[in-house]
Amino acid sequence: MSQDLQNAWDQLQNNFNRQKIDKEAIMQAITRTSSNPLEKLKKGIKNKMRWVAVFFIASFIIMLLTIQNVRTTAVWCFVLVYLGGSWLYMRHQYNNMTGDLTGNVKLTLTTYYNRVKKVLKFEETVGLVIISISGIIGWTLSSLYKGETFKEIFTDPVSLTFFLIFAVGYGALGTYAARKMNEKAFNEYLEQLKTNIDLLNINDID
Amino acid sequence: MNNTSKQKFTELIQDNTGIINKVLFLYLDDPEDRDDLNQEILFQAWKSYPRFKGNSKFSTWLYKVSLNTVFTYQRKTRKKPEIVEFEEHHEYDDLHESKTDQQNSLLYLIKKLDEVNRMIISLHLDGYKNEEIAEITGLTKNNAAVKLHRIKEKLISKMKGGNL
Repeated sequence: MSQDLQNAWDQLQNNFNRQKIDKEAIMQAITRTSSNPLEKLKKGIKNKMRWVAVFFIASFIIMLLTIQNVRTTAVWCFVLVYLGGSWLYMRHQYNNMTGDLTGNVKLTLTTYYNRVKKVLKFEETVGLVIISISGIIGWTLSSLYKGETFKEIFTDPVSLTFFLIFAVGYGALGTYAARKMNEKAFNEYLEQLKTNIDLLNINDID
Repeated sequence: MNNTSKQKFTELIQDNTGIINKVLFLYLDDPEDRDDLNQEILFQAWKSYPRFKGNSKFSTWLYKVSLNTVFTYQRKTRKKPEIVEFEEHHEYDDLHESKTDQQNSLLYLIKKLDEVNRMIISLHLDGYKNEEIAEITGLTKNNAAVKLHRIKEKLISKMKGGNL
C-alpha cells in the first residue's frame, strides 16, 4: 500500500512539472514589490524615517531663523537630539528586520514571529512617545517665545494640565489606537505563524 | 545581478517549476492567493539567489524558499482548505490532467492534513531522506521519522478503508 501511495504521488508529479513558468513571467515577478508582511512593515518604518528626517530639517531651519535666547535654543537642540535619536533607533529596527527565507522552516517562522511582534511593539511605543513629547515640546516652545521662563511654564496650572493631558491622555490614546490597528492588521497573521511553530515544536518521540 | 545570473536563474526556475506548482497547490485554494504567492516565491528566490552557493541541490534550496514563503505569507482570504465532497473533485481540476481515483484520494487526504504534516509527507514522497526532511523543516531527525511514520499509517489506513 505504501508503494501505491508513492506511485500515485509520482504520477501527480508529472502534472506539477508540466505547467512551466515562462521567462517573461519570471522577469516580471523579480522586479515587483514584495507582499511579504515583514517587507510591508519595513516600508512603514522607512516612511516614518522619512518624516522624522523632514521634521529634523524643518526644526533645524526654524531654530536658525528664530534664535531668540539660550532657553529656546536649548529646547530646539533637545528637539533635534530627540528627532535624530528617533531616526537612529528606527534605522536600527529597520536593519534588524531581515527575513532570510533560505533557512529551515521552524527557524524562519520563529524569526518572523518574533520580528513582527517586535515591530508592532515598536509601533505602539512610537504612538505613546511621539504624541506626548511633541505636544509638550510644542507648548513649551510657544510659551518660551511669549517670554515665559521654564519656571513659569512648569508651575503654571494651565501648562501642567496640558502636559498631563498630553502625557497621559494622548499618550495612552496613541498607544491604544496603535495596538488596536496592529491587532486588526496582524493578529490573524501572528496566529497563523504561531499555529505552525507549535506544530513544529510538538515532540512525537515521547 | 547581471544578465548571465538572470539567465541562469530563469533556467533553473524553469527546470524546477514543478516544485513551485506543487507547493502552491498543496497550501492554497484561493486562485488570487496562488497567483500572488507564485510571484512572491519567484521574487524571494531571486532576492535570495546570491546566497545560493550550490552546497545543496537547487531543487532543495527552492523547496525551502517556497515553503518558507508560503508559511510566512499573510493570506488575504483566510480560508481553511476547502473540504469538498470527494466525488466532486472540483478543487483539483486546475491541474489540467485527468487523474485516477487513487491520485485524487491521495491529494484529498494530504490536503486534509495540517500544514506541517502536509510538508513532511510531501517531502518524503518527493524522495527526501529523513535527515534532509529534518534539515528543511527544523525538526530533529528522530522526530521527523516518527511524525512521518504516523502520517503514512494514517494515510494508508484511510486510503485502504476508503474512509474519506
